[in-house]
Amino acid sequence: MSLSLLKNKLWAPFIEHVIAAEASTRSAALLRIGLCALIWSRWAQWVAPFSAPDAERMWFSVYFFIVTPMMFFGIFTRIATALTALGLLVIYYYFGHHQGVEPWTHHHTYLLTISTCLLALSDCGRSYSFDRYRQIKRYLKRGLQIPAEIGPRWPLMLIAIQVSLIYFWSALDKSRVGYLSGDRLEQMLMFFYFGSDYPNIPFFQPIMQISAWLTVLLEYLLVVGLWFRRAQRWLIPIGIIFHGLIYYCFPVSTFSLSMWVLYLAFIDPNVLHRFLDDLQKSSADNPTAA
Amino acid sequence: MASGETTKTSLSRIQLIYRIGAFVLLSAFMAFGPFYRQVLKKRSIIFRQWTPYHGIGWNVCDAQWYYRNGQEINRYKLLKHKDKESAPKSLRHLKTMKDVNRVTKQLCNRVEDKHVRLKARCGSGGSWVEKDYGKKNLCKQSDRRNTDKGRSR
Repeated sequence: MSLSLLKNKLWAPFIEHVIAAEASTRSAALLRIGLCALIWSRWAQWVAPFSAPDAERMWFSVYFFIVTPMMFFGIFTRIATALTALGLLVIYYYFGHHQGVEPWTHHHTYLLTISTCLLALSDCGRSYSFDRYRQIKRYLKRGLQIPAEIGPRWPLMLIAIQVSLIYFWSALDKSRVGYLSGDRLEQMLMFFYFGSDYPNIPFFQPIMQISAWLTVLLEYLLVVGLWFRRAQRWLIPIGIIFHGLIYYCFPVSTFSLSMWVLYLAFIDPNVLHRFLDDLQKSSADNPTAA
Repeated sequence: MASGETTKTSLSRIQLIYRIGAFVLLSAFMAFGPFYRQVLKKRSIIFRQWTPYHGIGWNVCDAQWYYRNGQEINRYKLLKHKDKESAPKSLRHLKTMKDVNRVTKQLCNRVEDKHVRLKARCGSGGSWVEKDYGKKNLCKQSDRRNTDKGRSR
């Protein structure tokens, strides 16, 4: 492939559609609110002052409970999101790995950490935030046109890449005899439900084997399929059900809901923007309409 | 310009370099981490592997005990429990062969002819690991010693 062809076919579209592309910031804002709620659900209780074992954690508690509400409500949003991301890095690497708080090193905690770090690169405060409210008020006061809710799209692309990589490496990890034979799923169900008595369920072994194969196939499919709008129509609901089932059956903490929220990164932000407009328009004329 | 439309901004050179650099570096970090941990099998706290649920739910043994005539032993009833639900967790959920051997000893004390055979396999990170095929009488002291040896985890 010649250099000019490489430039025209790969580099130019990469710059145009990824690096320089700007789109609605509503997806990023919804991600911000969703992730922040999940961060609280995972950690707030454990970093609150009444759980702090020492002065260091007490100070961290103060930090956490200042920056995360700011991120949630969108007050100085970019700074708040970056500081929240920094706090999560401290939780994961320092408290988790360095100080040995083992549950804080699990994959669901890392997922929240990396997603927040990537989100901090976006303009997630340009929609659904106190910052936006102040901006609108300021512009209206001056009689100016309200600025559009747009921002760079590449941070959302990075989040989508992270989700795809999770599915890919997870599927690869499961692509082995121990998992595909259904043995691993049998063990998990016996561990959590049946104890040491092999369940007296008809076709239990084949059901486990088929479930294992379907899980791996679905994960490989999600790696690629989520990037195509036509496939998203059915792959996103299937993925949501898949993660919901895992959450229902096994103690996976915030992982399932994090994946639900992160699916927003795959949806075209402008399509989501128009969808939300339509949704709100339907009750705009008559707010009390059922 | 209204929201909800795709646009392409004209970026300054510094902005362009920042965005390209961040995008490429972060993508590489996210992609290389699992490769480093899962393919190269190296240890690292900086890089993350994606093996969700790999470490949960494997410490369980699937165990059945049998009388001399091949009939399965109901360990709950033999050990004076009304049913499985009323039995303690230590009898319902046997995590390792050590737990299984403990129950075997208890059953041997209850079975009149001192003949108990065991079929057992235990969980691992992957396939079941066979521990006993049910061919020996474990109430004989020598056989039990053989089962105990090297099979407890």
